[in-house]
Amino acid sequence: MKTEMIACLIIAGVTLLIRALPFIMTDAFHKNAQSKFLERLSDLLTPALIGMLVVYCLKDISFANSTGISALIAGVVCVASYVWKRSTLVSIVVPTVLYMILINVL
Amino acid sequence: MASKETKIAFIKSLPVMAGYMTLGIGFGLVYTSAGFSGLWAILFSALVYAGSMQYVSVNLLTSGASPIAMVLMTLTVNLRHIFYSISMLGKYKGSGKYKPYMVFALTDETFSIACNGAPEGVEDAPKYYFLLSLFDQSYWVLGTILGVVLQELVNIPFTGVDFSMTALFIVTFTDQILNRKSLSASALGIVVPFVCLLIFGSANFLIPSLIAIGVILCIAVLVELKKGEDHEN
Repeated sequence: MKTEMIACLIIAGVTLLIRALPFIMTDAFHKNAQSKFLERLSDLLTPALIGMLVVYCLKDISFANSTGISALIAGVVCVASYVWKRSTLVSIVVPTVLYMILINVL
Repeated sequence: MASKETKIAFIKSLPVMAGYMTLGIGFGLVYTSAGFSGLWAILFSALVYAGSMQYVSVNLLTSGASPIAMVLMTLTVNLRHIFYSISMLGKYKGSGKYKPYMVFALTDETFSIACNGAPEGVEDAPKYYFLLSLFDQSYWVLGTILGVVLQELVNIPFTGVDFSMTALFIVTFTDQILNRKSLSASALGIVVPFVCLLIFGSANFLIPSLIAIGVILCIAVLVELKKGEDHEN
């Protein structure tokens, strides 16, 4: 209970700080928003950080048990369904249900 | 009688409804399935209100992460929001009493709608942005409550439901590639953390990955801009 409260407050605080910072320091950000360096860096940083989060999510899977092969199959279905249908919702719900079934049957 | 702004904001928020309800249900399920309290699941959705990060929070809680690790992870997952705020500086200017909540509730989805500006027929733009943000968050909180209730009712552990977080990031990652954001940056985001994972292990790979990605991209952008300047000269 206490850990949950601490985690919630820390994460809420940092998130709010990120969202509010440009509004608090408007002048500094207005100037820098036009900076080519920051603009380009943010363009590249987003896909890279998302890639890192994919690795983070999969860091504990193991091919010694059913989690590895299940995640691999569900992951392929996730990418394929998104390329095909371009629906975020479908590509989250279908692979998740598939994964939940696969880790139990494989 | 609902005001014009209320109606327009509600209509504009509809595309977000299905997604937020489903992901909200998923979060409620993932959070309570991990053995944590439903009350805090709902409070996370009310106070943090950042989808991906809330899923990651469950992971941080189960692994007993330190407060420092929590701060770093939040920065990593949510840093992109700083660019949303920068983009909205102009449109959200002079929103008065509505502004604090609008800033707090500027999520990916709300940004994707609000960045188009206030639609025709809206006289009170701040009120429109405020209500749009409020509708979006209400779907998110409502979904979380449903997820918590579902877990209570069915009372079976939804093992594997946390794959929804993985799927969410895989979808975002695929979308970045399909929109040709930057293939090399996407590849870098997979390769560098993977190498760090092999070297440092799953408990410690995040910080070295972040540093390496940051340094490599800063150098890459500097080189690129320098080349551009040389080209112009």
